[in-house]
Order: sequence, then structure tokens, then C-alpha cells
Amino acid sequence: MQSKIQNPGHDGERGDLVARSLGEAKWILLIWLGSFVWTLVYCGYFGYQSVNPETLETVMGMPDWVFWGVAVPWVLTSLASIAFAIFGIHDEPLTTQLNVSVNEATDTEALTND
Amino acid sequence: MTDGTNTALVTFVLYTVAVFLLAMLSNRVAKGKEFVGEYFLGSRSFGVWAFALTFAATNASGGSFMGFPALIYTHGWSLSLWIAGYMVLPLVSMAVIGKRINQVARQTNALTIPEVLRARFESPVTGLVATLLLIFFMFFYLVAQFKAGGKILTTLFAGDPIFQSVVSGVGNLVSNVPWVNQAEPDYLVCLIVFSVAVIVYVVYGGFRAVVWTDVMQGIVMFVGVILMLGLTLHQVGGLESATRQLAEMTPPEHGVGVLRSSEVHEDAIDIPKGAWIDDGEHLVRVAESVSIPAGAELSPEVELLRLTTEADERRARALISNKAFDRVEVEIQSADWESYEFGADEPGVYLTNPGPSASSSLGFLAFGSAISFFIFWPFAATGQPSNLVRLLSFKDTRTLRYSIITVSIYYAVIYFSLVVVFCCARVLLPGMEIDPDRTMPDLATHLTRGAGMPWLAGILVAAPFAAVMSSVDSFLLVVSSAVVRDLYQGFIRHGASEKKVKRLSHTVTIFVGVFALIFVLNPPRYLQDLIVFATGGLAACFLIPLVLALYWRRMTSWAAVAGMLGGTMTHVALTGWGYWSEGEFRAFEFLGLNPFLWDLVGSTVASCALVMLGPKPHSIHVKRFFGNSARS
Repeated sequence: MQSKIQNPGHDGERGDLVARSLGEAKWILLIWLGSFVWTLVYCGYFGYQSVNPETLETVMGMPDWVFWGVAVPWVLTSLASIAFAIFGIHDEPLTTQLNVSVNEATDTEALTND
Repeated sequence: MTDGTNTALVTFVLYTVAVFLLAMLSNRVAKGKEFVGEYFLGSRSFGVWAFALTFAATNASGGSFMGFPALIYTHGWSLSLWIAGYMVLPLVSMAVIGKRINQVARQTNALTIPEVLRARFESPVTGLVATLLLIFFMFFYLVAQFKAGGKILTTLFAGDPIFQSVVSGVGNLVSNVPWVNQAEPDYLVCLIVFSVAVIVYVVYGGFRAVVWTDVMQGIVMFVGVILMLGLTLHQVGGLESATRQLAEMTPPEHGVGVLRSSEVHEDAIDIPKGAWIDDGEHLVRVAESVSIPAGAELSPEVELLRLTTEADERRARALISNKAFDRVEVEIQSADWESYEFGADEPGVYLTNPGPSASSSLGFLAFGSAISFFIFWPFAATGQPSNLVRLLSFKDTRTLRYSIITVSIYYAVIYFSLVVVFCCARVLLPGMEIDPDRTMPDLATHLTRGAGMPWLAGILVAAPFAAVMSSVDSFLLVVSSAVVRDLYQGFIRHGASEKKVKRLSHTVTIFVGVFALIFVLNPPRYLQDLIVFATGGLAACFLIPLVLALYWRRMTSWAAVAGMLGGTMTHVALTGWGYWSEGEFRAFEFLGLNPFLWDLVGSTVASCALVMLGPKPHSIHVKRFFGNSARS
């Protein structure tokens, strides 16, 4: 999880970028899932109860379900996003040229595995 | 509540001048660069601030500063859960495909999303289908945003004396012009001013001007919200105090009634929209302008709003005695009152879910809807072409990483602050349910007057201008690029000269803008629903095919076409089902879930089926985009 620029120039690196981007996308979906589960489970349980003004509980001035179910995960998700942007996303060259063209190719073999 | 000054108008003029200056500057910078790449994508050269703020501002359309505040005011703290998906929106919408799509676009010299798909599969058919679907959905979106621009200015300028005199002159001028005379004069003036301003700076400065103005607009929005947060918390006595007062509140009652003057007058009595009537027992607000004719005692039927909370009434009486609200000396002859379907007479309903609702017995935010929105916001944003095209414009991956940080902080501050501000607005300004879209400008006026700094209202009301302009300019350019780059250069004249393409790009941008302007002079009845239709449709159409095209080696052109059509057809089918069963132009929520989720299922199934059943891609083609070493 360290940002580092790779040298541009050949097919292997294009493949590396795809693999790394895909790996990063999986982590991002995991962060999304974490925030989804926290927010929806907490708010689903505590955020749908009727409120009695006499016994209302607040945290930092907001209803407690908003603080624990929305504000806290929002802050944590933002911190996770920032940490991921700094440490989790690799710097890569984006300008590698395509050096194989279908039009030029004589190989018309179809992809048979994967 | 209007302040009777020209604050909003002066702000708008200053703001527009600043926008034009930026457009002129960007036009100078663009000189000497290749036209098409510069006009539609700013030569892919944007750094952190430009990229981050254009992304943030384009996403935050006029709805963020007019519709969203109105929803918070009407339904309370429930909106914090409704908008919670935004906590992960920057990361998902920028990082899942950002790096990869930028790489593919650079490799193939693609400037638009259909061009990326066309180049990825070397398939003109895929590009054509993407272009046609994009133009189809984007047109509804563009038209709706033009209308929103006109409406927002109408709302903000409502109390400006200069504006009113211009409106009256224009009203007389166009009274005999067919089609044009169907528009309200105030809306017509605002729409023309707004449209001309946007078209001129987009044509003159292209994508770079759009991005630079987005940066300014993004800063204006941020400063406006922060100022508003500080003033609101100060005037309401802190968030704790506001929440406790909110806990006592119960939803108002809407009604229709007849007003009676205590004596017959020789002249008509004009009762403005928003005026208050004290019937001895309750405070009632008039929801539309009405007159008691000369020599008569009774008014025609008029829409009314009745407060049901003692604390609300105390606050309204205090505002009336401070001359912040108007009061009229008439009585209510008769009225029929209607309680909210959910939350009537329930103290505490503004503090919890599902939140009060005037029309639904399930409340505002049922749990299924909360789940749907948490999925909808980040993933629908990922599939929006106006966002996707921005992912083609950042200059390197470091820019992308730092932009994710910037937008994450920006959205956390902006959206959570808006929820706090407009929950407090319920306490500060009772009775805004007569016209919730006015909550933002009225609160700005109220706060700055209360702070003894009325001039500051100009900065606060600039935020909605900024929001809607930053969205419209982007949509205008996306539609223009689809016509010029994808249709003309892609299918008609691939080798057209730069001079010709430049002339055509300007002409198309002006034509699309003017066509949208003429179309929304008399907008169709279901326009608001068309926005929802277009937003969901665009994301349903592009998200899955694009993600698979970028990451799946086995993805084929026919699978991409099937994915686009599968998402679109599911979207259209659910909308048709909704219209058939509910009689409204709104997609059916199968199993209580947002239709967008079913659209994605339709798109995924169609794409995967074609990958499994259709011809496999050439290995040489796969190698070209995925290299030798990696499997994905």
C-alpha cells in the first residue's frame, strides 16, 4: 500500500495497472460495505424508534442515532477514504501507448480461456 | 419573506461578471492548443484543485441548495440518513474506475464516454448506441436543469424592485408572442438571463472555462454553507437548543379556505402569499396570493397552512412584531384542514425516522428506501456521464488521489452542515411549508438581517446560482461533445479540418442551449419526474457496461450493447409499470427497492448472458488493452 510511480512503456505494465486498479476497487467496495452495514444496521435499529421529548437523548446537540449512526461513520469513512487515497492507491503512468493494433494483426485467434 | 432590496440581483450580476472574466482567461490559455481536445476536455491537464472542485461542484446541482434544504425543513433529521450514502460517494465515484478509464482514454485519444467504449471494442456500433442513449437521457436532464436555473433565479429575485420592473416590461412585450407568452414573465426573464449567461461562457471558454468556473462555484458554495452554519447556530442558541425545540414540534395542517374582510372596502384588498392571519386560536399562513374584490366581503378559495405547535406560533408572532413577517387583518370565514398522513400530532416526529409525510402513510423514509439511497447515491454518481468525462481530464494519478481527499472533506462538511442548518431553520422560520423551495433564500435574508449584516445575504444566495450553473455548463458540453465528436467526427467526417470542427462545436453548443431554452419556456407537466427518469437511466445505461469493459478481459462489444440496452429497457419497463399502476410518471419500486437497483440487475444479466453466449473477443484485442501479464 505505497504510492510509487512505475516506468511506462510495455504491455506488462498495462496489465499491472488493470490488476492493481481492480485490487483497489475491491478495497473500495469493502469500505463502502463497511459504511453501509454500520449506518443501516445502527439506524435501522435505533433510528426508527419514536422519540419522547421528555427523555430525548442527544450527543453534541443531535439525536443520538444521528451521531452514532450517521456522523461517526461519516467521519470514519472519510478518514478511511483519505487513508486509502494516500496509502492504498498506486501512482501509475497513464500515457502508455498501445503498440498492438487489431487492424495490423494477423492473429485472429479468439480468446479461449479465462 | 422578501427583503425589498436588490441584494440578490447585485450578487448575480457580480457573479456573472466574474464567470465571464474566467471564460475570457481560459480562452486565452487555450490559444495555440489543439481545439477539440481543449474545448471538450481541457487538454487533460487539470491538477488537484481544478479537478476536485469541478467534480464536487458538478455533482452538487441546484437541488443541493434548493430541493435538499426544502426536504430537510419538511422532514427533519431523517434527511441525515437519506443523504448518508454521500459519505462514500467521493471514493466510489472517483477511484473505482478513475485511473483505468483515464488510461484507456489517453491510449485511444478518446474525449467522450461513447468514444471510450467505441475505442475499447473497436466497434462503431457500440459507440453509436452509447451516443444515442446518452443524447436521449441527457436532453431530459439538460432541459430540467435549465428549468431549475430559471426557477431558482425567480425565487431569489422575487423581492428585488429592479427585477420586478423589468418583469412587468417584458410581460407586456411578449404578451402576444405565441409559445413564449405561456411562460410566466418572471420565469421567462430569469430563464433567458440564465441561459444566455451559461451558453456564452461555455461557447467562449469550453471545458476549461467550465472547470475554472466550477472551481469558483465550489468555493462560493463552501464559504456560503460555512457562514450559514455559524450564523444559524448562533441565532438558534446552539444545536442542542434547536433539537430540543424541534422535539416539541408537530407537522402543520394544510387547508383550503375562504377569507373574510371585517368590512366592505371600495378597493380590492390584496393579500400577498406568505401573509399571516391570527384567527384568535391559531396562526394561519396564506399559501398563495389572493384578493378580496372591491365591494365584496369574501375572497375566492385559497390555500392555507395552520401551525399546530405553540412554540412555532410564539416564534411566528415574534417575527410578525419585528416586521420580518407580514400580517393581514382578515378573518377565516371557513376552511377545511388536512393533517399529515404520517406524524400528525406526534411530538418528536422530526427527530426520528421515517419522518413526517403529508402524502404517505409510511412516512418520508421507509427502511427499504434508506437502503436503496445508500446504494443509489455513490453508484449512480459513478455512472453519470458528466462525472465520467471529468475522470478523463485529470493529469496524473497523484491528482486523482489528492482530489479524493479534497472531495471527501468537502462533501462531509457541506452536506452534514446543510442538514444541521435546515433542521435549525425549522425552529427559526415557521410556516415555510407553503413554499419549501424558498427556505434557503429566506433563511439567508433572516440570518444576515439578524446579524446586522444584510449585505452578507448576497454571498449566501450566490451558492444556489453557483450550484445550478456548475451543473448546467457540464451537461451542455457533454451533449455537444456527443454530437460533434461521436456523431459528426465518428460517422460523418472523420477527417474534418480543425476550423470546421471548431465552428461546428460552437454552433452545436449554441443550438443545444437555445433549443433547451425554447423547450422549457413551456415545460411538460412531468418535468421533475423526467429528471429522476434521466438520472437513473444514465447510470443504469453506462455503469455496468463501462466497468466490465474496463476490467473484464472477456467483455465484448455485443455484451456492452446488451448491457446498455438491458439497463435502459429495465428502467423504461419499471417506469411504464409505475405509470400504469400509479398513474404517475415514476418508476415502480419492486419489493420496495429503488428501481436503479433493478436496472443494474437487468444490465448485468444482459451483459453476462452475451459474454457467455456470444463470440469471444480476439486475443490480440484483449492483449492490446490488458497487456500480457495480468488476468482480470
